[in-house]
Amino acid sequence: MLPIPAPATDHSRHRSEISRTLLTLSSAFSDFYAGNAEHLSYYTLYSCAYNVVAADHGEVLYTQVATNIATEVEKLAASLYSAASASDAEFLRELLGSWKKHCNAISMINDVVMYMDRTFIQKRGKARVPELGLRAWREGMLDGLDGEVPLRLQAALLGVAGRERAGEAVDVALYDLTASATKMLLELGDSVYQEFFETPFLDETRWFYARESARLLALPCTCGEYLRTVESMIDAEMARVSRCFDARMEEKVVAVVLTEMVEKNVARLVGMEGSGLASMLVDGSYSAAFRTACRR
Amino acid sequence: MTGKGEAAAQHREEEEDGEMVGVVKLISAEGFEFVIDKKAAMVSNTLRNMLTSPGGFAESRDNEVRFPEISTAILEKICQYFYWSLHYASGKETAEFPIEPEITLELMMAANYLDT
Repeated sequence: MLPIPAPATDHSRHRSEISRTLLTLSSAFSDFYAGNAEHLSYYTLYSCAYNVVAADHGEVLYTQVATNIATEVEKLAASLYSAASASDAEFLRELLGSWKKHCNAISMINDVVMYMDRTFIQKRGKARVPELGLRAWREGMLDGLDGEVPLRLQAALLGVAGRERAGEAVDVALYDLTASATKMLLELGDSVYQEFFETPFLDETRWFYARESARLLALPCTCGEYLRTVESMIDAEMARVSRCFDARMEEKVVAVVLTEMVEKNVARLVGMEGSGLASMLVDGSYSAAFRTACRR
Repeated sequence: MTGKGEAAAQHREEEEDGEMVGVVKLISAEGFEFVIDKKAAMVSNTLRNMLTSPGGFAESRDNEVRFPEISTAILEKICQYFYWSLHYASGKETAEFPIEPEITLELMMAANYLDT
């Protein structure tokens, strides 16, 4: 007969039983993170959680779950510090490996404490286990934006574009790793993604193209040539976004390139002697300008 | 309550999804073994989680689950419920699921535990 929740008459024995049960669960959660759960019995763990909640100690279990998750994430973060000095690709690989472990463990924890989820969590309107997992990751890994791990991550993500724009070769493996890393940031929340990656990325893009436009306009070139260069820049940026980043960013990146390269220099482009937009309209060689204008 | 012991014949299903195919063994407190389709077992959310959890618990590896706290009679009724549920899930026919009053409390406890 399954245990019927009843008021505990022998408090100290009841308390120690609960403690023992919680300890079992705690060590199981560690096993999940370590990746060796095959020897564990779902039934035993589920019953542990069930018994604790049925005995009206849902709050205790909930707190413990949150604490355990936070501790495990801290452990993962600590092990990442040692990888911080490795190459970009190595670091990202380690980070994404930890992320996967974390996601798997969260999923398993969620399964085991399903009874708590159905009853205690929903009744009290608390955050569900997956949300606790995201929160723990945000706080443990990306806390403060000035820790070793977040800085390293940011550098790795911005590094791909930076190096390619400078004409340097980029490790091919980095493309997939960067794509996965940005997906991870998106899962953590749009604001995290924007603050951590998109905004600094667009800022760097802006600075780069402001310098580029100044450099190119200082050299002798026709308006048509300039616009063709802008076009190939846009193509390169779009290719990079589709390979490495989230597609929604494409529009923003193209807008930045156009602003820096074309919009800010419109007067100069129009008035270029012999080849400015004005003369292009006159002699009909306006296909490049037309194409560029269509990007907007 | 009639019929203790090995219950329900195994129905073979077409291969549609690797995880849905096959059978799982549910073992009661007294040690009786009920072999049912995985698809039937998944009517219970608890059992579904157990069998499809990414970590791979001992139960999903061995394809058997022990219920030391659920008696044979109740477990048999639960298996019957799984199949009844699958059969009438389409909603085209309806029929009552017969429950003897004397097992109601135990059955409800088990159903609560198994989230079914």
